[in-house]
Amino acid sequence: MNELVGLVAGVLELPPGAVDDDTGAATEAAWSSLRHVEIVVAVQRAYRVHLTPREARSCRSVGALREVLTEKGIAA
Amino acid sequence: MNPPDRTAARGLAPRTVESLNRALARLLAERPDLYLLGEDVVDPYGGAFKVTAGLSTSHPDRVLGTPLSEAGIAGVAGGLAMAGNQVVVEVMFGDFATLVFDQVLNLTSKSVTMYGDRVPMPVVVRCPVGGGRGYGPTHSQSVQKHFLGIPNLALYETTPFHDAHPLLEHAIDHGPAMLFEDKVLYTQRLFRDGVVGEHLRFSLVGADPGWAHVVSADGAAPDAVLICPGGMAYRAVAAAERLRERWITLHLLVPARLHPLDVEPVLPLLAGPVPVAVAEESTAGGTWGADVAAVLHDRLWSTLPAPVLRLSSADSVVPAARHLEERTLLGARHIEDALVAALGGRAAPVARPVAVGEAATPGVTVTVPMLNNNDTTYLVLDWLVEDGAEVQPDTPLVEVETSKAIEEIVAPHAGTVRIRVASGSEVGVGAVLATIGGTSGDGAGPAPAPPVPAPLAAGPPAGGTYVLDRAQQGAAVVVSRAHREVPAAFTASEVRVDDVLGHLRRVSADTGAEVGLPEAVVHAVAAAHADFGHLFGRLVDDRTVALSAAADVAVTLDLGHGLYTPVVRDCARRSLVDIADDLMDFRMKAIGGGFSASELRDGAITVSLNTADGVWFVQPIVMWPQLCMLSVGSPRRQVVLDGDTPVPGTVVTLGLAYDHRVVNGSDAAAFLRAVADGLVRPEQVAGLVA
Repeated sequence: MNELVGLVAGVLELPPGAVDDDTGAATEAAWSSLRHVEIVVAVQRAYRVHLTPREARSCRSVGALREVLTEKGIAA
Repeated sequence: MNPPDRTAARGLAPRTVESLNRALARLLAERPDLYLLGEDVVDPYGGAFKVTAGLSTSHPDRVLGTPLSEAGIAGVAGGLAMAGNQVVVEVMFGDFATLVFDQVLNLTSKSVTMYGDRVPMPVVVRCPVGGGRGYGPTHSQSVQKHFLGIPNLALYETTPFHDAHPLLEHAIDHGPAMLFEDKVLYTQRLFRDGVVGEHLRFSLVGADPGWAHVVSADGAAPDAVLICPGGMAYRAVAAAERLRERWITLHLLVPARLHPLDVEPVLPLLAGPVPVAVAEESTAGGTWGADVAAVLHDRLWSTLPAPVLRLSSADSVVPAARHLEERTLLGARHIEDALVAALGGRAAPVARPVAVGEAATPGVTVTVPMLNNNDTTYLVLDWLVEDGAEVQPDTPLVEVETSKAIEEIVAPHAGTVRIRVASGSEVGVGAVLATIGGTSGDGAGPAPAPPVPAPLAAGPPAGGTYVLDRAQQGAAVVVSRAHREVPAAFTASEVRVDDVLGHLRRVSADTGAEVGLPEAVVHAVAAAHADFGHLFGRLVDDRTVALSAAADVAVTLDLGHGLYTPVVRDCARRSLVDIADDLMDFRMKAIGGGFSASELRDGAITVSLNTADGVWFVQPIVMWPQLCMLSVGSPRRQVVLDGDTPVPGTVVTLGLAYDHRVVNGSDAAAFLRAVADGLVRPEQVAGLVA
């Protein structure tokens, strides 16, 4: 299990095995609009990184979050 | 015989000196066992302030001049009272009441109850007090506080609202008593017929001698209430008049009896969450005002929005030079500035009384501004400059945390900073944070930080009690005021949103970033600003509405970390995507923190977002002083009619609460319809997401 998956699983209160890069608002009912903001804030804190509001709105899955972090030079 | 009453002949209200003179003349006539003793009270001098003019001529055997011995006069008065007489003593200047003190403390007051049976001691010691006359340090003091709390001793003070006869009568019959007479009142006329100038009215409340209650003639509710003894009354009235020009309504409460203080009649007048101040000419420390504040804290703790503000003269001797005296003694401008600061009108500079010897330029006081409508106290987080640092205008000085944001307070002035409050302190609106320039006077450094209570770790405990956190306390203040002050009406409308949701999904797909119904509703509300500008604004007073030039739309955000209402600025001119960015930024701050106070204030209207699954609609409140709040519930699937054909559809319910003093039902319905059209009509939906 990688760190980002564990973080998202923790926010969504899902077992880590139930979360992968495809997990997102479109695939997981627990990924509500409120949980989405909580995930973004948790990522910012965990990786000490700032996501712009536009980035936050676009990161609707674990994979999308990983891409944004990678663009910022963070291995997640 | 007494001097001819020219004032009465001209139909004018009497001056205080005339009111006292008439009262004494009448009491001497009514009470054959009443004596009046004092230095130089006999004619032709008639007393230093002419209060006793004519009385010795009318009653030569009972109005008696005495040697220059205040202690002796007071002792004789005590003896006369014990022998069954009544006595009024005049001390030429209240400053010499110190010489009376022993007789009052150890003879007159004690005699009432130290012999087993209650012994009436109908003695009233009249003391001209206060400055404003240029009489210097030993003839200008306010000595009331030195007589507070002596068993059996009552304290009275003349006021321009109370006729002297019932006041003196009450004092004699409830004596022993001190009657303090502020010298500046002597030449001032009493107010009568309930009128205090053009803009203020008064009435007497409570049992005799009662309180004067001064209110705005237009019936405006108070923004603050000032309690003061009679000697401050003219200055308090002047302050109320000046504040009125700044749209601040100040009510006054002026008791005729200072001690024992009967607060019961005025508690209902102070029961609302309105700031209360006490003003007195005395120096601070062990004062009547402190006593009043303590009583009000005991009785009104649950409703007072802030600790009672205590205003006193400077910690100083009273200078003889009039220009210095004006700086030292509490005046109308000091009251005005202190109340404006307490109400958050401006941070600095605040005029305050200045002690003799303090720098002629006392420096600029940096006080805590009102940063929002939620809080009355804030937390001093970190000083951004060192004590003693030289700063320029707008240099950030200190970070202050409100219940919902962190705000920087900047230097209003260049100069040397003297920090007065330590990091970690909880400070009220109007509290002094620092001074810039001038001298510190007492040389005191920052006060030690008070212990900061530990935050509640994980929600309220099961059972027991807990204290609301800062954010919730702030929300409580706002919603309580809204509920109490706004006569709100409500209307609702159901709107089919299939089309707009489809458009929003396409926008989300095209831009790669989520845009939802909340953004569309905010945009639709803003779009209605052009035709319904009179619903976007705030109530300044009962008759005045300040309209907002821009569609600054506040949104409610409750993401489990407190209720926030940040403001999306100028929405009508911005794209839906821009608004979506702002809302996401606010949502992240609502969870992660970091709001600035400026993001949370001055909304022209509020949209209450309640789009959690299963919430059909929410009846909003009106966030005073705004005029309207619109709520939006969660989209729900149901059968709707397409023409006459039942089809599945998605609807939301929009609710609008509005201040019925300003907005009428037809306007509210039309506004709601306009917002709904913005979400339904194809051409408007297309424009919305363009």
